[in-house]
Amino acid sequence: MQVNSLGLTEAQPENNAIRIAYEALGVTLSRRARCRSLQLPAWNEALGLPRPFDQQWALRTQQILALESDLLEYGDLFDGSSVVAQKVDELLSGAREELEKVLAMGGAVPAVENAYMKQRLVESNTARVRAIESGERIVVGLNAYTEAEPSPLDEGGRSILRVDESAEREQIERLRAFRAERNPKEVEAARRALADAIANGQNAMPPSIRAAHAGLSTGEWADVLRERFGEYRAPTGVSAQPVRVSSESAERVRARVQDLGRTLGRPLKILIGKPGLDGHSNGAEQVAVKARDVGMEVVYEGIRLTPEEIAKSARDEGVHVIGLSILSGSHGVLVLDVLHHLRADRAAEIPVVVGGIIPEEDARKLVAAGVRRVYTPKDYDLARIMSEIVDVVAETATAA
Amino acid sequence: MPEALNLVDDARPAQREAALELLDFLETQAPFPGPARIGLTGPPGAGKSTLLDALVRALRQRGRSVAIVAVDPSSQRSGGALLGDRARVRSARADPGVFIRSMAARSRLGGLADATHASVTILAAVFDCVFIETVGVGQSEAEVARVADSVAYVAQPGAGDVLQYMKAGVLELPDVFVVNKSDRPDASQTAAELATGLSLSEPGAGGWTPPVLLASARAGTGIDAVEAELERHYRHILESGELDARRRRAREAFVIEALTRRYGSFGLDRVGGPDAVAERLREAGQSSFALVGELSRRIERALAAPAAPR
Repeated sequence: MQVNSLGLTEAQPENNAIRIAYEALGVTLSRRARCRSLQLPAWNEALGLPRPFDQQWALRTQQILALESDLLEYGDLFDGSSVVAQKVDELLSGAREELEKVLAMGGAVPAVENAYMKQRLVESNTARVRAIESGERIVVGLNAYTEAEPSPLDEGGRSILRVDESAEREQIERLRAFRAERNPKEVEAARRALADAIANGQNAMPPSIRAAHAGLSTGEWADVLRERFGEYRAPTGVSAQPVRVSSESAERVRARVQDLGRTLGRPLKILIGKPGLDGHSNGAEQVAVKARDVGMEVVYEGIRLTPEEIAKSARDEGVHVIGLSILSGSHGVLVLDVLHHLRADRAAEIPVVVGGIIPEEDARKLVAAGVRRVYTPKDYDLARIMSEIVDVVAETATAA
Repeated sequence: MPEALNLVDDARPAQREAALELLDFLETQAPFPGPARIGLTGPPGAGKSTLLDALVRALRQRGRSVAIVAVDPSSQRSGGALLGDRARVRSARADPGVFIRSMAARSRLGGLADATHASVTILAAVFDCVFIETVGVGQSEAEVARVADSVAYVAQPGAGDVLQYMKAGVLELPDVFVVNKSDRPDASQTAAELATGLSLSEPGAGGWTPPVLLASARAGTGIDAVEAELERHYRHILESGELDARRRRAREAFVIEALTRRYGSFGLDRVGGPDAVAERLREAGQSSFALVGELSRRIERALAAPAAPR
């Protein structure tokens, strides 16, 4: 069981330590429903990547729970509790109802393919985000009790792991050296044998093993498969029906989007892109849904795009603005790469805004490189972000 | 080219003038028949984009460049739209030989965007093959048939669906039917029902019987047959003269729609109504775009002039 980091906040991040401890208790308290294994997130994951110290702290949290309490010595504490029994009934009937729906679609695989599962995930997070925006759901330090003493834990944005930029270069060099030592004829023969096997519908495992022995890299191996089968793109889940409830602030932004559309000659079109390998799409999805709900035309392509693909999409689609979402910590390289490709594609005039887990110091660097706005987890008010995106497009249109 | 597509979508008067001029040039200068314009439609979840992705890969392997206009519905409430098809057509990636423009249908409920005809005109001047992809919502088969040379309908296996298709009149327009997800056990059954349903309807114009094909975009099977049938249909209508007629009807429909949207049928009647438009387009030398410009000016003059005394 991995206690999720969705609830972690960038605002007053020290509170996350408490949240994590309570969540750990929640998934271990009942003996019969206890998770089999537990991995807690670190307190600073909304700020950036955790350092060994932060991971140690998360590990100690669960060690204290396991070894300093007597939780593990008893049967199920909830046996006989009518409140819990009722909760369990609700969960069961809800789960059964959901299973019926999925079965009616033909099972889990069709429910993935027709985007049902992903759509439900996006919808439920949309409801959560909206409740936080409206204040209906309280997140301490974020939308309530926001006043705070200066934190000694926050060492000027340095309380996260910094990945040395040379790591990537060294890895590429290692790979290059490895490839140079292979027997090119053997590699080519292995590659062809694999391609032939999959083209003829034969077992791909034996030629894959031979290819590995010949030194075909994972990337090269996958390329052979990609050439034959294409690449799976999961449904993005954000094509669901628009929301019925709407806030006053969203209505105001919608009016501005419409006005700007008249000035621009066509409706404001935005590309939401997720460059790089991180699969954390929650933020991008919510921004895409909100942009649609305030009247923008949204191109959203899902996760794992290259900077080159994003620049091409932006130009081909004729968008007015690009929103990039990055939670992997690689924003430095990826964003600069997107900007570089935009210039190469003669689309440098398209403004770029960035959202993600981005330390302040990095945010300043991105702005210096030409990024128009940077948003981090403490910017939970999506209507305000939309309004600022309208500002950015309007500024760009006037400057042109 | 992306800039040209932006231009033809631009509602500002100066840009609209410039767009009509560019489009007029393209339509009058384009060699006939030019690239095939293929409409791809079908219900949500049938796997249109995945099939398109497979088709595009097959075409690219033979060195043909491909453009795609993908139209998604707009929210009638917010006016916004989520344009998601790019995500599925993976073969576009960073390949300069594949171009995708996603469009929102905006106020049009029938599935196609206003700028579709203009965008297809531009893309046909540059690419070897142009696809128009739209969600099948009943109306959209008819709309896509108005801009495409050939229409492929993508269905998914499912008992009883064929009856619904027949009720909705879906079987009347498409030139090629593809039952996707052919690895599902009920696929052949669906294909058989479709073929039966088609045999009950009137034979199409020019003696073309729409084939019903089985394909699995995911497994990559049956794609070559889809491509071959589309090509066969294109050659068929080219030789029978139907292609010329379809293109002319597409231009007519565009002019009539463009004028009706702006001035209503009352305005259109001021310049003789739909028949006059058809008549004018039959006279050689003038493009649909130039005609929209000319008739717009005449309608505006007629509407501005005081009513003639009776």
